[in-house]
Amino acid sequence: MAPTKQFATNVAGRSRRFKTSVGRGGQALKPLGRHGYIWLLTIGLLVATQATLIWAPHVGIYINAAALAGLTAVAILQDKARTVAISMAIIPVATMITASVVPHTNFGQTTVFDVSLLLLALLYRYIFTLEHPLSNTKLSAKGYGMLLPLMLIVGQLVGLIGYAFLRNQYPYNGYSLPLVAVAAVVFAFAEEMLLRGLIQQQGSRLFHPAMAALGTAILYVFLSLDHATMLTLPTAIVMGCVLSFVYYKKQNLILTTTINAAAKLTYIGLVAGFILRG
Amino acid sequence: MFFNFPLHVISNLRQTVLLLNTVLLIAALVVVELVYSEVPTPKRRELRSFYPLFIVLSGLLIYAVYVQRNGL
Repeated sequence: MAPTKQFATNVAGRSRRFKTSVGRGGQALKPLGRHGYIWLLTIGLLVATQATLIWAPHVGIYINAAALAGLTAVAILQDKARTVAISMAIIPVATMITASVVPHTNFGQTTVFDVSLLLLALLYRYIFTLEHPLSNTKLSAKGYGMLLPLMLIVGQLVGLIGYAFLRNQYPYNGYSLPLVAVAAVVFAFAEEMLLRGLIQQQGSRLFHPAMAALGTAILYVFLSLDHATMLTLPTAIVMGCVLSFVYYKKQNLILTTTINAAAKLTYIGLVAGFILRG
Repeated sequence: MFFNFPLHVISNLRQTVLLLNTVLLIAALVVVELVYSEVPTPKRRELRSFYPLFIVLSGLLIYAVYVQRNGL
């Protein structure tokens, strides 16, 4: 090989290595290509929707419709990004369902929203795994034995942080505690099925899994924000990051659902024990 | 801690949401028709992914008709 040609080949090889870098388990990672930008665009659309829905609902409801139209367009036009775009479109659809049915209480709104998310997420997870079954998501009995107690502790710690910030912002005052506790487990399952089981999992197939985890954590934060108080922000950041990180490492929904449910139940239990009783 | 549904003035927006839903459903059906009318049959299987969304939007359209008829 001529020296000039060899030099060019070496530079090109080094440049490729620099762009792709090395990821988890030594796998070469994909650069932020077109799909990465689509991922950023779709996350940005949903974040903009949630932000405007919180602070200017009359505008936000139009942005929500625009986000749904945009995600559907991405799903129609981009073959490889279809599953991610449709998974994300579940959020604006659930918003439309809740805004159409008009539940009168906060608890009713969250229930309708989360149940809509859960049903659509389950349906789509089934459809998407028909042709591409999931792999490496199950742990051994020993793995569960080791990790489930750890996840319970992590969830309780997150619940403690939530109690520290939100003890005076309990949203479900006036409802019986067993009902709220059962609903909290269903909410946790719905959140994990959509965000980790569908969006993060489909996102990881398109580009860097860490980017999928980060995007999902941001979505979680914006879905949890409350117009009445900004104290939800730190709790949502901690919870979103912990859940996305655990799914990024283990790709197991049982573990993340355990953390989520434990955090919610700890928070409810502490509020019931110290605030409502007092 | 919980997903928070953000529409605190939700009841004023129901008519708008139902109208937007109808517009979206029609627009989506038109776009799908335009994109997929010239696509070979095997590739049209991709459309299966959109069925649940269309079913939900159609359900909301039926609900909008119900709301209008009963003056709710």
